[in-house]
Amino acid sequence: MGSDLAKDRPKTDLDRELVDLPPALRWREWMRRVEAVLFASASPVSRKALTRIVGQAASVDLLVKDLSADLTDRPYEIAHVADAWIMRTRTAYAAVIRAAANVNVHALDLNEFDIAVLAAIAYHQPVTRDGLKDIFGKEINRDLIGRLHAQELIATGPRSPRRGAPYTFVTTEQFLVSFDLESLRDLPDREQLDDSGIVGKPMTQ
Amino acid sequence: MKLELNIHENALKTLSHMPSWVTSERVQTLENESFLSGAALATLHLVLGRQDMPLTLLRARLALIAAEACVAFTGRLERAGDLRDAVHLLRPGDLPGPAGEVYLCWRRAVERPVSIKALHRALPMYPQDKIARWLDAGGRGGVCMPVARAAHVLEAVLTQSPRAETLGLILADAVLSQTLGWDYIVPLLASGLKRSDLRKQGDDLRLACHRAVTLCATEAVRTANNLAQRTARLHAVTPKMRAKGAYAALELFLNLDAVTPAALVSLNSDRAARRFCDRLVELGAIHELTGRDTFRLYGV
Repeated sequence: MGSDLAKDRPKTDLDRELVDLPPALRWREWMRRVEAVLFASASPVSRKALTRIVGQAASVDLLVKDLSADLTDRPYEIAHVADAWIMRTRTAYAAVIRAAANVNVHALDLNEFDIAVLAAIAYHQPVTRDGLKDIFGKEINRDLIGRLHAQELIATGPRSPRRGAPYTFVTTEQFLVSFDLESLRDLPDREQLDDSGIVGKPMTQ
Repeated sequence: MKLELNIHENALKTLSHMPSWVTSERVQTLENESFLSGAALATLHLVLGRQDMPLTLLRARLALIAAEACVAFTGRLERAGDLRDAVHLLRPGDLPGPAGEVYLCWRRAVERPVSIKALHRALPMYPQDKIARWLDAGGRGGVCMPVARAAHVLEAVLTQSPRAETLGLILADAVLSQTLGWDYIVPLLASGLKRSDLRKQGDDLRLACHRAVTLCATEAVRTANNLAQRTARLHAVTPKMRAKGAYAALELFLNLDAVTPAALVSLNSDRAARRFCDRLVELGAIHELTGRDTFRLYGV
């Protein structure tokens, strides 16, 4: 569930209620706090974490909504992922950022076939390595699975009830964040894939 | 053996059954449907109150059926058997996967008496205050209109997030059970609704909910009678199971939807546990649920 910024931290004397401020300024300050936390965090921040920095009665949803409204003409935005929020640049600026900035640290290190395997896992999860072999008609090597694992795009799911109880693979919340999906149901369905011509093409590597 | 069968037959006669007119053909008006759902719920209420009813087990079964329906609503292909496998083959630290997660929500939802806290435990991705607000959407009031209140809650959740079927149906069932004065959730909506019903609103949705409750309550009465009969069988064979720890092992079968032999720790060894299960199957007290030779699951 996103990153828990305040977890394992000693309890600070954070003034959450801000009773000294008039209501309008108080709301502003809460919005700034939410913005600061989202700005500072590279991973989604859970609702729970955000409620810890604003007044007890304040609605995090409303704060985020107001904040999003403030950001309408900025090149970045707040995205909602699995009951957590993350601040990110708008997709329209992807090309600009790639042209000028050094963002390799966060970029996904995946080749075309990695993506194909990841997509197969997303659609067929929970799926074993054998299951993937059936889909692609060849062994999927452990390095590839390891790469997806290392980037936290997949995790191990329930064991498969077969000899040796092999692991299955499932996608993670990080997968949803990376591909800008709110849930797995945002994956394009069969019909959309047909329309865009992705399905039916022979798999290449 | 003969004596037991006689007890069996006598018990059968006293079982409460749903009157056949509840599920008869009818004109689908709100008036008709709400009358019938009331009748169905009243019958179920009596059945649930019976002394010999294994309530925990019944709720566990109904939760599985509800989860199966919810998984289907999300467009996935997993059936009840897959859901059982997902949670029984889940090791600590692993993720349950999308379908397994739905089942875990339902399982936790029926485990504890209804409260905001218990619902948050079942649906940890939603904060308590939000859950409370959705439940309030059912409106306040006395015992009247349990199904209408459930429909309100379902509509409130689905209007806000159209894909949160599991959330909406668990909360709707919670309100339904609470309004009827039941401590625990008895899942009575999900498997009676169609995917298209979930897009309905107002009176249309209410009509669909009445129909779903009538269907599910009828099915629940059948399942309940079935389980009562089988647990009676399990009680009857108890004296024959003389292994050390047999009592604790039988207790698990009386409460859980499915049990792996490995979970029968009171029997002290895997081999003893497997033999114990085989013997119970032989005596007709439990079934093997998967049809597999390995990774077997047993249940009443």
